[in-house]
Amino acid sequence: MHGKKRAEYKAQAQNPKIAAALEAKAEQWYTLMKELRHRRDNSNNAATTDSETMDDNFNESTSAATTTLSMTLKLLEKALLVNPDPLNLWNHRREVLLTMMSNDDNNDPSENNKIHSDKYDKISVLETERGLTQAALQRNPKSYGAWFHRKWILQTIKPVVVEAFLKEELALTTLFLSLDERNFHCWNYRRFVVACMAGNWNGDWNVPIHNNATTKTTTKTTTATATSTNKLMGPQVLPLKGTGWDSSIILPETFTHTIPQELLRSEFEFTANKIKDNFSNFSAFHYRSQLVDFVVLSDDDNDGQEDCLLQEFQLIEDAICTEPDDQTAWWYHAILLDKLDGNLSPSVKMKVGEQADLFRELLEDSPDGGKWISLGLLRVLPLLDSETGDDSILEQQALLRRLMTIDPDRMGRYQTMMTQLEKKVE
Amino acid sequence: MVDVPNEINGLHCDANTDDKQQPTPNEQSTDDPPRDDEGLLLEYDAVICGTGLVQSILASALARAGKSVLHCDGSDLYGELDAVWSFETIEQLYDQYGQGKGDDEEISNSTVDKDISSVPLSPKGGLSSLQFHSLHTTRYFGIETGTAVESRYGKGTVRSIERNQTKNDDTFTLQLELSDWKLADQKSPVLYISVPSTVMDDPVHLEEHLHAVQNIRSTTTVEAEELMKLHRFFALDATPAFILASGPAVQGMIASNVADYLEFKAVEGLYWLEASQDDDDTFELSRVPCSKNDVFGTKLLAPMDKRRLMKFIQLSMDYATKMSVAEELEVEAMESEVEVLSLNERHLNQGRSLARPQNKAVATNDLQALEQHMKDGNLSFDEFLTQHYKLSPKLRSIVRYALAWETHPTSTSLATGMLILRRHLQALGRYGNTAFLCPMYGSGELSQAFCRSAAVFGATYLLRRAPLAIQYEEKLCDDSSKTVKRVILSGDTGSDEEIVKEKLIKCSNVVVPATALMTGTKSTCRIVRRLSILKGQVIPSENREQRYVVFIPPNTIGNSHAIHGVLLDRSVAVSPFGCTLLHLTTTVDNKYHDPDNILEHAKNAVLTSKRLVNNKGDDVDSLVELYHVTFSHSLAQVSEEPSNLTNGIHTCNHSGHTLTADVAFEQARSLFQTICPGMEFLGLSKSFDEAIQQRAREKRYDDDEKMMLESALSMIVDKSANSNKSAATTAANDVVS
Repeated sequence: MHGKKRAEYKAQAQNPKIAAALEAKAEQWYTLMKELRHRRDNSNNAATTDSETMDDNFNESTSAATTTLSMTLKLLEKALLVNPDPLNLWNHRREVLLTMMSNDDNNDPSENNKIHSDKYDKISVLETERGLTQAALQRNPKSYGAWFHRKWILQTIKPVVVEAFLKEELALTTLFLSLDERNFHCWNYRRFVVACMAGNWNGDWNVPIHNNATTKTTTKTTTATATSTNKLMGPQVLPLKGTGWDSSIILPETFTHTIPQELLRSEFEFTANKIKDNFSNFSAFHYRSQLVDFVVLSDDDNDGQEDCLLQEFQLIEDAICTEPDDQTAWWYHAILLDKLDGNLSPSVKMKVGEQADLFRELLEDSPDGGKWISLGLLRVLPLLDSETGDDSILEQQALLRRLMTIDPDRMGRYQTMMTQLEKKVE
Repeated sequence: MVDVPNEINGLHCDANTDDKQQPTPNEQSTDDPPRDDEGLLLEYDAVICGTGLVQSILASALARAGKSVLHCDGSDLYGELDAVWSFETIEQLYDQYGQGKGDDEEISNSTVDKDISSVPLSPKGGLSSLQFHSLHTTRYFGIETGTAVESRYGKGTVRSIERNQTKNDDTFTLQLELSDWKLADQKSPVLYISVPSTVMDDPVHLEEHLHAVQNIRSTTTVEAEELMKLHRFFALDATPAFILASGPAVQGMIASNVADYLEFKAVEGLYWLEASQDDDDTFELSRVPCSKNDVFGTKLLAPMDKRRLMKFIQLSMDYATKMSVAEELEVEAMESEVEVLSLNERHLNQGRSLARPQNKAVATNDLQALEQHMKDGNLSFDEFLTQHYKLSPKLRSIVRYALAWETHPTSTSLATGMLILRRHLQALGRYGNTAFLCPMYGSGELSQAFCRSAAVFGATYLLRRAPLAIQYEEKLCDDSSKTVKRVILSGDTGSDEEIVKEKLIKCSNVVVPATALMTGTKSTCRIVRRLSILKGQVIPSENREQRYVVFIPPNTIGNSHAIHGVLLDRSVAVSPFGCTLLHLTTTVDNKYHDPDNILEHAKNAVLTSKRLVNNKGDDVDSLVELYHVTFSHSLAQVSEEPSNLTNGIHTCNHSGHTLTADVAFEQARSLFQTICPGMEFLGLSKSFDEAIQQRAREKRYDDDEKMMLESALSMIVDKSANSNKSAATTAANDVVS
């Protein structure tokens, strides 16, 4: 806070009145935790005993059990609103929810007319959990437990109106990222939502993309083809198995399992905006590096693909010139270069040549350092014409020697690079 | 020190009770000191003349320090040149200070005994150098082909204006398409109006004619009239003042809790006006790059320019950090309280606006070179930028005028340049995109807030009463030792009911605006200001809010000094929806013949400039000026005249050609330190401070967490009570069975 020193803040805890208030609070929290632990132990025991002795009073006991369960849910909700971080509380909550759901499932077949109300119930559960996680995330936007729970509930109970619902989720992540553009939890969740939009409810980006590019001269053909599936990102949440919860009932059949091209475009644009806000953002660049394949490939003609690539290079150069010691842009640069194959088109080759010049100029400007600039130049040089091969090799060797002096911690790495270079010459 | 009768009685009742428990240095007895028939004390520690910002801050600080303060102003509204004006006020002032009226200085004809040696004061106080140059409300905006108009038949568009060929008489026919109507063929009816050629010389002339004859006016004219009718929605600042997001003003307002009276919004961006490269007569507005992301995103700079600018900004940032660490250590050493603020904490304060990557070390060599040059004083700021950072001329002028707020083409010293740049950079990244905070409801709120807080601490306020002269006593034994004895206070001329006569007030300190001192020499420069009310928005923004600064470097439009433009609108409650206030400020030489003209040029340059179109590619609004007023004032330079060596006379000056009110805080602080050496500036009295902290504590711990926990526990208790009950019933059943 403004003008408040940490010592002053600490001194407050010395104040008996405040200390007492804090202690009372801790005491209340402890009581609540004890109660919840007790309830969890009890329900575990009950589960083992219940299955053995199923008696005539089944219905009555379950209704009593449900009231206790709903009360546990309420207590958990209150606890989580105070502190959204303890994972055991979230686990407990999921156990309770699953128990309630499986009870419902067991009851359903006997009463047909209940199906409708049951559906409604599930949706209301979904809404409650969404509300709870949202409140928890407002308290701590980087709470692992809360983000996980939100994914879990979305997978477990699929919303009825999928598209509108997912759009809301996307808007929520936009809001969170406007508050903190580097919240990687939120970026993860955003990718999960986009995967869900393509119908992959496990959050996996293992999707065939619609691709009408025919020949590619600027990008490697291995990154994406019309037939192969691209596994772009690992699953965000492991698919749930054996929960006894039918996940397919609500999903509309028309929902195709491809990510719509416009969505990819708008996501690409979104990362651009976030990078504009603050380019020191690994999450945004990471997402962009995955999206760039789709966006580049979506262009039918080579010119379009080249334009896109050149724009990306411009973005990188702006970032590098603003702050050459910021790794994010260099990292994206390396990824883009890796995506190029040996046969560069003339305009791309010219751009890379310009980059080499720019990096040399930057290097001159920073006589004592320039680790990242040197590494960048080392990446660019091999892509340039082999006619000036000898000069290029000499320059690369000079760069490596420079790196060894300014960054002796990674001496071994540079030595390896040097030997590799020498092998190449032979 | 408590003084009872003043304008804000209700407010300082609290102050009364609280202060009694805590004896202040001047309070020896609890008896009320003697008062005259008006309820004023017979003697004051300080009489402050004029309610400008500097005086208001000082009044609050002195009252807090336990001094008895009489704060008076000859005008009947607060603020002097820091006031918020209404249209009526401006008209009154224009009559009083209009062209050729401002210069005649009245020598006060005091009826009070003049035998004693005295320093005469201008009854106009801080306004004594004020002069109005022009005042204009645009009534007609002109009708041409294509103009949207409103007629008695509804809306329409002028389709054509053509000379009548058929007849011999010299008339024109104006075809007006009435878009509110549709004929059977889906076309709109056309009205043919004959106009004499005598009115065709000028679109405005034509509109005047059409208004008189046919009651036809352009839509712009009608809308403008509607906007100007909302005169109560306008808060016209005489001096727009921002607050640096971190600086003496913020510190002062937090320390004194005056911040509670005020609301602020962050300024959205700084803009730069320059002649476009291919045409000297057209201008371009582009964003000033001042944070890392601005530099990254700007199209204004080539890649290597970006690198050089960033390098310099980072050096300045390192310098700023180093200096503030040194200052803090000094303060802490004085307070003998050892506390190390971690580097990390400092970084967090700075935000991410300029933060360097975590692994990047401070360029010590560059920093040492800078400090050496500052010590030697052999380089000007401009020379340093040229020689050491190879900044292009354009970059240099951006750094000098937009980042270090220089106003004169002759560069300041390196030390001054770096000092201001340091203040600017340290205030970045706190709120929003810029270093500035803008007060809501007009900058005049600042001086009023401090007057209010001074009154809470017992200062007495008198409006419409100006001090006419300061009487002093000469001690003959000492060479030139004069001491202030009394102030002659003018009678109340404002109210008819009760005529209050002039009177003498005993006091030991008098604070006067330097311009009010008849003996003060006038400076060679004047500050010229032009306040324009514009229809539409100047800088295209998505939220349609206008809180921007425009910098016009010297020699862009023939201006000798830099021009600062401040754009504000409804978002800070200074104009109705649809309007933007443009406040232009510059400095001109005293001899400059037409100060009005230069800001007229500046206004036109801003209005016609090529502006960035927003993302959606919407067209920039058509902008018209509805109203403007131009005025100027000078800053007196107080020379070392004998009269100024009088003990107890303190002069203050209006902040002048600056963007921030922080200068006023510094001035008030130094005045305070001469009057009350060694006392805390703008601190709260101890009892107040404790009460406030106590309240804050109670609030903090009576929070939603506590409520949540309590409700959870009450559920557990209820449940166990229920289960006990049910256990009891089952037990009872068992017994029965």
